[in-house]
Amino acid sequence: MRPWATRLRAAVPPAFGALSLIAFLATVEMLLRVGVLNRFIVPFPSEAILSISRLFIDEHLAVRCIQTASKIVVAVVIIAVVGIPIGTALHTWVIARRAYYSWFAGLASAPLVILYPLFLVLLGRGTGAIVLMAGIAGLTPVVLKTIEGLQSTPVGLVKLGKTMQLSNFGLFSKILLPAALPAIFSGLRIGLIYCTTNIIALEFLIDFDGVGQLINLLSYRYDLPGTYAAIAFAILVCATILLATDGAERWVKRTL
Amino acid sequence: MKKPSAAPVWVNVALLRVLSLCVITAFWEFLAFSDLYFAGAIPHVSAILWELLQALFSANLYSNLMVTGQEVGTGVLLGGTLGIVTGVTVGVSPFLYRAYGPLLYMFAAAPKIVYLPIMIMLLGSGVASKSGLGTLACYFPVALSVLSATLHMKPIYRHLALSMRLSAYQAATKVYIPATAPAIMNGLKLGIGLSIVSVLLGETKLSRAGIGFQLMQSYGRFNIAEMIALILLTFFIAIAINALLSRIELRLNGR
Repeated sequence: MRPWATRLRAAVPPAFGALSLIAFLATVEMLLRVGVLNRFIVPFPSEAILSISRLFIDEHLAVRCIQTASKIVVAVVIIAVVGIPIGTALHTWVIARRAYYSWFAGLASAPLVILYPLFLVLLGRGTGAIVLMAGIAGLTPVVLKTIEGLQSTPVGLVKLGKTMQLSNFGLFSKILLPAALPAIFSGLRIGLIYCTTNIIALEFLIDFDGVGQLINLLSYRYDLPGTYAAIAFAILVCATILLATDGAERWVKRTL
Repeated sequence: MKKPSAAPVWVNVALLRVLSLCVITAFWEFLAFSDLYFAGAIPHVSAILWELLQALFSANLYSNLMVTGQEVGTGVLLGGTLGIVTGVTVGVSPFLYRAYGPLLYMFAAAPKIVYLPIMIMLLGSGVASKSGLGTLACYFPVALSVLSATLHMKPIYRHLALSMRLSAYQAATKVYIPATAPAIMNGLKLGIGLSIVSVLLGETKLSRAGIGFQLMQSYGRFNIAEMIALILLTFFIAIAINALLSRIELRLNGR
């Protein structure tokens, strides 16, 4: 088959998926227009789509995106700076690994985000509480994946390093760390996703800054098209970060 | 002279764990005694344990636990069932996977709590809206897990269903669902965890009952000891459910 025909065939399913979404929105619009659905509960999809530009002009959506993004960046730096050394220390110190590994695994399954009222009491309602909460939620995957990456270094490579009489630091920087980088990156990616979802959720819950607060504000004003548009925008932001990190992870695994 | 033998590893591990707990408790107590935070913000450990004990013997906790359990249970039942149906339906057809897979991944990425305003508008501020949130939270991990398992299922299962001329329902119940049972369990494990988190967060935002509601009442009264006791209790319940599901998952994987 010719290349353009192959490409065309590959584009059919995604186009069908997109068309299904458009058909769903068109059906909702029609049901609202004929009065089957209540327009005071569900807004017209056309109004919601058009209100996105209003969100940028009147509600400073671009500034809110920067606020949310800056919190995400700080939280990711925290989980990298704290999580990778903890993971490395736990890999090196066997007794500590045995003692704390199950604690970190347990923390990963605990609903950490409900600690937020405690952080509000201790740090006040502000950026610090949001970033720290998100950092705590995103820390466990980084620690666990760092341990996993360092543990899975091929024994042959470690033996090679030892026969070359590398110091402990040399062994770590020249062999263990490069071998563990794909797993560490994978942990950072999961951590970034946790941080993003937690930051938007906390902005919404404590009504402070960013994209999350906008959803809250608009729903309090009963601005239905705006609320739906802001939620759709939040979904898009999360999906874009997920896609971008997914691509970056594949690139790292190919390159290293 | 005979060299003294080193303590077994498990003793050292246990000692380290106990020591760590002692250090954490001592640090917490130091903060509670110091004037670094305003009075009552960091309660003594004894006060937290007392509140935990009181909560365990109060009917209020169990009535709120029932409400949260009902919301999570409904969410898991609806979200899990819909997730399995979606996962099998979309995963069985490569065309549908390429059409709807990206949409599923896209909607799954967002924190489910942001859907709360929509749930409140559609279902009100009571139990139904939190159940809806729980449904959404459970739906995506189950659907994506089953979708991936169905897609990567051994082709022989699909050929078997075709050669036996099974109906869609028979193929789903006799072939696809049993073949993807470990993935369903894994998805449910994730889904239940996310459902608990979403329901609790929904309750802290707007509700009239439930553990999240009780938590925010303690916060509102500035009874921090009770609030921490409730958070600890929720952690224990969530971790216990996760451990139980992990055991079931291990058993399913080892069959």
